[in-house]
Amino acid sequence: MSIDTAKEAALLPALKQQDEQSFNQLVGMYYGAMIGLARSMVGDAIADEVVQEAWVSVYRALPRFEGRSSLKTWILRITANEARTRLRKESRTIAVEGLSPGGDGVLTGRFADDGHWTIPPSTWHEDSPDTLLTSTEMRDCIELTMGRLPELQQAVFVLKDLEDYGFEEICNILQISASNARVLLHRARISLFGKIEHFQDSGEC
Amino acid sequence: MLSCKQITEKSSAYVDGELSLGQRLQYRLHLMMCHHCRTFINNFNAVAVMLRRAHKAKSHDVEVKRLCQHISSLPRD
Repeated sequence: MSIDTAKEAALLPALKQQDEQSFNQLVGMYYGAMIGLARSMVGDAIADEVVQEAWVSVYRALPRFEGRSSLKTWILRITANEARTRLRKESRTIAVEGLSPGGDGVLTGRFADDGHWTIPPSTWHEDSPDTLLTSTEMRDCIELTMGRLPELQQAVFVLKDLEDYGFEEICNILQISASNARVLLHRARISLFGKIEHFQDSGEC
Repeated sequence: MLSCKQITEKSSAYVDGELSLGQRLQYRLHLMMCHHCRTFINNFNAVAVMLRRAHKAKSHDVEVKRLCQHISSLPRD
């Protein structure tokens, strides 16, 4: 049992009674994951509001939580739904991008016809992720790049690589197919890879 | 034999452990022989690690507190 699952199990009886202190603990546990997901779907400007709405829905629905998924998955699904509702209200929608060919964008043009590198990857100056991240410019650049990825790419990346979710749960939270999730994740990773490589080579974002 | 291009295309499947045993062996064989692709996969792996570090380092204490106050001000059902 993971730490989160154990904590959830301990909190659940009180949460179902809408006990405020337990609820505050729950907010502390999952706020980071929710805001990450909300930002990825609606952008920074309204993510706070989406998360606030989502927590209100969670609070009201908790007595009826049936435990068919983990509490965290359930909460993130409510967040994703809240984000979609919000986008609909503003007449914006999230396109599940078509699985168009040439999805490895930033790497296009870097291979010969036989599939060998023509512009091979550069060795990064610092190979430890910790050292790489010490530069503020690099951090800002990563955030900027993340923010510019198409919404669902960001959302899948956040859930898989930052929150350690498996594909099954990601599909449950975002209501997309597993094959779409895999393609979106790969595109997000390749785009981020390309941006960091560019930053490493040029010192510019 | 996998090409370098295919190594990049299958990189997510490789790091997520979704290749079959045979595919994985082919993948590793290519990595053993090709230093460009070794560099690629090392960098590719570092991306997620970096972003995770940056993500976990963020503190949301202020927002959490504000949100809890908002929720507690809501009328009870």
